[in-house]
Amino acid sequence: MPQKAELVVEKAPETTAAFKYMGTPVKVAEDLIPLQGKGQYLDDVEIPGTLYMAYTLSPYGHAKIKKIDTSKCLELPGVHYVLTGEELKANMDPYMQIAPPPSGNLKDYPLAVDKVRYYGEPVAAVVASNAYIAEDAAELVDVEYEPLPVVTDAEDALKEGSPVLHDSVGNNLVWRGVWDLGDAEKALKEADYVVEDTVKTHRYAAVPLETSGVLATYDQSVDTITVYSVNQMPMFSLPIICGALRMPPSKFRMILPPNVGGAFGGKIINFTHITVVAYLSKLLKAPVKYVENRSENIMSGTHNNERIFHVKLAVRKDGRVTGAYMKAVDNCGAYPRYEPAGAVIWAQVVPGIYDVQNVYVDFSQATTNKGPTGPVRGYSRIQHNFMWERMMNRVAQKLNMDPAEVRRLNLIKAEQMPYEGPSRTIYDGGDYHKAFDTLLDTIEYGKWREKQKEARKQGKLIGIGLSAVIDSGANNFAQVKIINPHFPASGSMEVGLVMIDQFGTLVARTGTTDQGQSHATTFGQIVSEVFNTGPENVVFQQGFDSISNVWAAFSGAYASRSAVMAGTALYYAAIRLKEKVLTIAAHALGELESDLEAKDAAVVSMKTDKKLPLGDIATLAWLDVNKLPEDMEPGLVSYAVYKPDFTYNMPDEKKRVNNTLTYSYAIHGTVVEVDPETYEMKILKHGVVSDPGFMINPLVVEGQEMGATLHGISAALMENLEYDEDGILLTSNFWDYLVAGAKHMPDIDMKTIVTRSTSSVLGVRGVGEGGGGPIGSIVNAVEDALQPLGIKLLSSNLSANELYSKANKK
Amino acid sequence: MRPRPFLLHRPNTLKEASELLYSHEDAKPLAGGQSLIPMMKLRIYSPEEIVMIGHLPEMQPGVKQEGSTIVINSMTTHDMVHHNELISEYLPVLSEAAAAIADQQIRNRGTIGGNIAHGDPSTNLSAALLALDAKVLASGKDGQREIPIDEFFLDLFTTALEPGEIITGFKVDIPKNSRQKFMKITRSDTAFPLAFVAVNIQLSDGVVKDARIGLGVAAPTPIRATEAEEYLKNKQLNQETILKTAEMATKDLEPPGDVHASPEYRKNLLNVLMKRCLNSLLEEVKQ
Amino acid sequence: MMEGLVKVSIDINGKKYTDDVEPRLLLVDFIRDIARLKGTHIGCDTTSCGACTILIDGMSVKSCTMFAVEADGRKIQTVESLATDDKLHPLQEAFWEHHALQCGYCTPGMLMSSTFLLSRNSDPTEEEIREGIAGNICRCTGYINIIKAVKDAAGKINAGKETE
Repeated sequence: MPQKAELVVEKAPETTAAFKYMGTPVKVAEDLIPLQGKGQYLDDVEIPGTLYMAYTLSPYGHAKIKKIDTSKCLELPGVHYVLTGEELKANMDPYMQIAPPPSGNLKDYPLAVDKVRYYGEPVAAVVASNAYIAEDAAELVDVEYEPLPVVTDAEDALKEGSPVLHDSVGNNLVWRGVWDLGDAEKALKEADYVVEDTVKTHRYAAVPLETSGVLATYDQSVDTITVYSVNQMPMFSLPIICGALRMPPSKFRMILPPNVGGAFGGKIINFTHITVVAYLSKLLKAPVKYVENRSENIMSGTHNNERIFHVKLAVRKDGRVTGAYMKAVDNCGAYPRYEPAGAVIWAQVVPGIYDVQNVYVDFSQATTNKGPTGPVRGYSRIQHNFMWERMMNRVAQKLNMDPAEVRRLNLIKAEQMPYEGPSRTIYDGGDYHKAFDTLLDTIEYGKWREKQKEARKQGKLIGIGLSAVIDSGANNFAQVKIINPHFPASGSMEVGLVMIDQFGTLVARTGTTDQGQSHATTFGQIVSEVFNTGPENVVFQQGFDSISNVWAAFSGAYASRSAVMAGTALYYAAIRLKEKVLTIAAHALGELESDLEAKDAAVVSMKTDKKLPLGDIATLAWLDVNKLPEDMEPGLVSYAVYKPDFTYNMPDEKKRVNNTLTYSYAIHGTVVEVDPETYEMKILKHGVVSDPGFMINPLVVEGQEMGATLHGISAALMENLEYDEDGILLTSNFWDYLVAGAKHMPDIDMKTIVTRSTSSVLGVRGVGEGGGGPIGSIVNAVEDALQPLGIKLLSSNLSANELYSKANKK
Repeated sequence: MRPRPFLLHRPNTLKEASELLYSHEDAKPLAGGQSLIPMMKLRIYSPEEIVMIGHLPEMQPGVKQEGSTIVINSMTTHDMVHHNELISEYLPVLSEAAAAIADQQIRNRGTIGGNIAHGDPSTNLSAALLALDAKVLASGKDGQREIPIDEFFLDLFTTALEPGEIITGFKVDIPKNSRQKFMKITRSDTAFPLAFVAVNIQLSDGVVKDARIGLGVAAPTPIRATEAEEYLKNKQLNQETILKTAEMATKDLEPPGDVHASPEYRKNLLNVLMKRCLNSLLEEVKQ
Repeated sequence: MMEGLVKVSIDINGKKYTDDVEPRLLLVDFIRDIARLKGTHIGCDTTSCGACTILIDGMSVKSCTMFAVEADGRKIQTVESLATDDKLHPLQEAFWEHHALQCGYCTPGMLMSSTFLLSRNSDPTEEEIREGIAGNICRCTGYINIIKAVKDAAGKINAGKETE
């Protein structure tokens, strides 16, 4: 069809009531597939003759590789090949680095070259005829190591004399940047009080229940590698892989199976596995499969950024915060594989949900002998949100005010919306006070404060904690230019394709990769809405294929972007297609387009009641094409690439840019009881009030919020990647890396208040990440509970063991 | 992750199994496999040979009463131990300990014999059997013997079983006028417990006539709190004696420390659990 | 003594699968690779996550923690057995109704654990449901909808029995 030079589409109607198919909790049709065990996940994909790969892993945190002897391994029957870093180095380039030199000189390969830099780093890849033999063989790779001094703490890593991870860089600094927004120094000078503290966020991991995996085959006839993977941003990862392997992306077919078993950010930096398996499949001219075991997934399958903040807040005596001045250091682990993006992504939420315009941040990121970090649900913003929520409590303590009151005083007001933050983020509407007050009602804040008084008299430790988070969604890649002005990416885009097949069924595709977010149903609702036709007439084709499906270079499901980006692209594509359908119908029926409307899989005339089913229109468009209007291109396919305007699209010299399109927010409140003898923590009540913007499918949105709440609870009370001083990970499987089970999840009182996003076409906000809401409210609540004991908490992870030791230290 | 290869034996009789285990030093019997198989998958432990025993007629699960004794066959699963009526009635501490093992699937497959043969200080049942003064029934190439549970656990993962010996069951004399309690603290059902306590006291008119206390994750082996047991004898159960018992049971302990619990914290938990067990029994008596 | 391969025959969902396998072959791999029933998943190495839960002679077990040889001659049910003639099992209906899954990877194991729970306890309390699925990890849903679904399914199964 002729593409219009410019897309003229009105924004979606303002009220939910205007919608028929969007805005309702439609049951998720694609749920029926895994429910019956019919899902196809990566490990379910079978190709005859597949060989299996297993890694030999580093048992050291930091060591020189003196010698690798593969002879015993190769003698084992069934072993086909052993690949080492040395061979890879000779046949590929190191991965591109986001950071400019000198840290951009870092040489990163998927297998260790010359030395290992973290516990669990892959050192060799063994290929064998089945998975059992591959594991046997991986044990037979004989590696001689010479241990090196280890550094696990980011601040230590930046000190003079620290062990250096990457000699090609010269020191451990990945990137440092200073944000000097407004005038924080002046605010501190003029403040009635300066509230100062250190806040630390701990290291945990995404751990989706399905680990990462790759199946690659090489087709000699077309000289193409086909890769089945679970990568969340396949077309962004593709140039990284192809650049390293020195091959054109067009010779590399990326496929995701229809089902991906969760991701939460943890399936992006798995491009290292893809590289190795693809290389081996081409070399051996055979399909090769690799699936991470759980320990590999925990050791190196993406850790979140561990961060320390040294903060000073400028505070007026009435409790109003007028400025923030801080130094932050981020622990990136051994290799920056998506980093140092995390060193700028926090700036999506510079003031949290508070009206603070004077902010100074000196941010550094360092490599250490820990596993690589990267996006984990709430990437880099969880840390910043947590810092704000801890500091708000410190302000309350300093002024002897109620922490709820301090927050209410500092919240951005509804009449300030859309609110331009100090770094030019544009908060797209919302009513923070309403959400906050709703939360206080939901958890019965006042009543619990009374109960707390009574409880304390009886020696019971009850605490109440609050936190607020911004879940910024649909990122603007231009923010990476803050790190490296030459980084060749900016803005955002996603693609939608809507077509009508020969029998009249609406077919939709996008480039997003569903990992459990119910895209098919949600996106189906959008197409249904435009064509005013039921979901039975819409097929959303799930799964990603760079050859046969649509994609844009930023395609994928990450950064809470799918509903905002793909939803809009599909909305546009559907509207374009409807225009063509109406034109054909008008021609066939001999009526005016303006008298026609799409309805129930047909076009009907509002004037004559004449009706032309979509199937008939499809026949005209695809087969009986000489009956089409003159000059009309046959076919019923519509394609739209949505590229939003962020208003402040590029960073200025002060690092100011609007770095995401939507900013959903949630307020969490937790009541905990700490056992005064065992220090076990029990959540008595947890409430969430969120504003996700317009909800295309409330069932799905609520599911995302609930899942994010679980992740936060699990992160605060259980999950902790703890390393010893030698850089050995002490929690490398589910016996020690504890994730919340059904018994750990309290009942959640969840409410939504809806205000439309002022910046997204459909009025929706991204909700995939949830921003780690409960972490702040739980830590605040536990500290509040322990107030009679005078215990101060530092970290975002709590264990009864640690509380006991704090309580008994004095 | 997948286990290393091993040779499999499927003997036809218990005697044959014992002989195999005796003559093959690296052979290990496979009961429910819920401790053994995960270790084999992680390749922490890899026996070169495995002897299957679950199919043997002598090794079928079951619980029966013989006079004043309860006999529990080795292959009885934790779930069966938990729900068995005889055990619930006469040996509730064992039933409670079994109920608190890991999760339902593991309880459905794991067996009491396998659990005890493992010699792990963090298996619930060991503390309960210590509290119940059980006898371990072992069958070797030279026949059967009974090993008092007090003499069974020698060191970490080391038991009194001789080469070739297989646990065939347990015998417990039904305690008279007994009050029993099992309590445990764990961060997650899928993780190892932090601490647990099993208590079995004989009461007469509120006075403790006899007491046996098993402590879990308190030392390299499952242990009893003998000093505390002695102290409690002929004492009225009250707040004072409870506090004192808990203190005596734990004061000299040097429990292991790990990423989830320091030795001091673990000691504190054992102390707290001790108090809570006795308090709960005191409540029971009062009712 | 058996060296090399061992003949194993297992009834899975009413169909017999026989093969010569290595003694170390895990039951879950027999189900997935030999019976080629892919609904049973692997999510960990430590018998923690429950994604591989199946019923063996009616009892729920984690098929990653059994050797295939241990299941020789026994009857297994996997998630594929729940729906009959394209009619969903009440638990499946309830999971769908309550959006008790997102990525679906844990779902087969959750369903099998819940099936076992309801076979034992036709009207479990919320606490009993939490206990019943304590050996199954879900990273997506936050469990609440799963608990609701199991409760709801129990109610529907009981209501069905009363009308029979």
